Amino acid sequence: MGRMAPERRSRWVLALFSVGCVAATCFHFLMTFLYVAPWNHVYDSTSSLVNGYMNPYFRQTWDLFAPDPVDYNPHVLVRAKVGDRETAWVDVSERELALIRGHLLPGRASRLAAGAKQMLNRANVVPVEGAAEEGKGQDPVLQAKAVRHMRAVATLAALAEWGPGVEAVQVKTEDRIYPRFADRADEGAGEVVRKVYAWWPPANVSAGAVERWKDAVR
Amino acid sequence: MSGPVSVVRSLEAELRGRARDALEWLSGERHGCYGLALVRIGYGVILLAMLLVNYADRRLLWGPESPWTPDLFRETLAVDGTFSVFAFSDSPIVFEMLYHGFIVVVILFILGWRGRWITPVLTVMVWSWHQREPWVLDGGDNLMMLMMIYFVLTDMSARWSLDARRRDGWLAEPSVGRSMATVLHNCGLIAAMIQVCVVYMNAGLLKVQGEVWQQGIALYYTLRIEESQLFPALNELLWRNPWFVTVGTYTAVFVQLLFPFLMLNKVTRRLGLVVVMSMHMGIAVVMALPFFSLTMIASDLLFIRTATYVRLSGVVRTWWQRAVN
Repeated sequence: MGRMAPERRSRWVLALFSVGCVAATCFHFLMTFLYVAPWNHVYDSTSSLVNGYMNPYFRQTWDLFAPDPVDYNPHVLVRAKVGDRETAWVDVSERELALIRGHLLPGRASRLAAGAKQMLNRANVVPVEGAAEEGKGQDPVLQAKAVRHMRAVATLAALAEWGPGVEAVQVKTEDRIYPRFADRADEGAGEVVRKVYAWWPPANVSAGAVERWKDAVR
Repeated sequence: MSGPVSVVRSLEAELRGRARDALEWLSGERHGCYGLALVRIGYGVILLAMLLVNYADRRLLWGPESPWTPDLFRETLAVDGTFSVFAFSDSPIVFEMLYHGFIVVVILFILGWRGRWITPVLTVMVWSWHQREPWVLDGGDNLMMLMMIYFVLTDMSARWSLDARRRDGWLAEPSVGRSMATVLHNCGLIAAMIQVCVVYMNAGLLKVQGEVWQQGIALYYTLRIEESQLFPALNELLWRNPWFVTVGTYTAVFVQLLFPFLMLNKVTRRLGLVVVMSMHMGIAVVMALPFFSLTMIASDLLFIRTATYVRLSGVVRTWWQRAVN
């Protein structure tokens, strides 16, 4: 291009740059499409390229309520060993729900226990009562992380409830299934899927954190 | 035998002309500046509201006292191969500085001050904030994050901003560098618009695979989730009504799946935007997801044409002058 007039040369530079940008945009959305599309036969041969490109910065999921919407209300309950007695179960989710009801702009503290439960389910942590999901992978590293996460939540809730004498905490989750659409007039309670996890020693949390939990999740 | 030659010549001329038009569209002018300005203000206000609504709980959610402990947070960052400015230190003072700094950056973003620098800084802040506590996020946060990455390429503060006021009457000298920035701006804008289409289409495609969506009863299930009950009595009124459940379910499926195609034509675009925006206003109330809904509505604003915004701003100006006099 040495002999081109400067104006013509800059026009070529701009044209090449534009083609590059458009190509990059096309590539990006081809990857995005393959990443978010329902499972398909192209997926197997391209998944490592697609995931390598999309994660972590373009990670996305748009399957909220689809294909099958949730049909139960998840609850997290916590109890503790204080001295030589076991406390009753306290429903932490009920407190979180109170932060949503009637609040036009609910705060994110309403999602803390719910988030930890989601992680327990995703890691498929094995409960001592109730069963883990069959046929779902179990990654010990992920399971250990999920337990640490929930232990921290349960410890905050327990210390806020029963004070510093807490020696162990236990978590129970309940998925309270509500009636099918056809049975919507039923007022009776539906089926409940319960999982009780092992007793855990309390997590190492600061006194300040407990105070903040009390303020947030009243 | 000049027939085939002249056909090839005229085809070549035609293609050259098209290519020139395309290049001119991409590099000649920065499109969608009013839409981007509104999204800037919208996203900024949403972020500011989130930071202030959660202000009292900030240390429990994102600070060193979070149940998503500093250890869990750092291990996850390492697994994902990414970063967060909140990982630099566990000191509460550093955390307070970052949180308040975040608020300041958001305000500057809303005002459109030095957008070229503030937009990337805000993008880094939002990313860092999301990584710090990933378990309290929703689809609105996910979309906003993706859009911010595209917006880094754009000139978001070209209108309705302090930058616009500063640039007023100042004519940039045309240069290759400036044209390249324009190409990036337009590609970023197009990418953001495609991303919104991906969200709607994908959500629609996944819904048509579900039995209860096909049967027109999915809304019943979503309305009964306790987490989405701002006013439980209102939700009950709605899920007990089969007309509302069926019409609502099918509307959601069709408008999402067809969204990109509705955007192609002037009449259907208006219809599509009115329906999705109303749907999200409804979701804000009956599904207790105000920040998600506002993010979707703000993102939809990109699909309104510049001409409409210019006309609207003219109307508002006249109305304002009349009110003042």
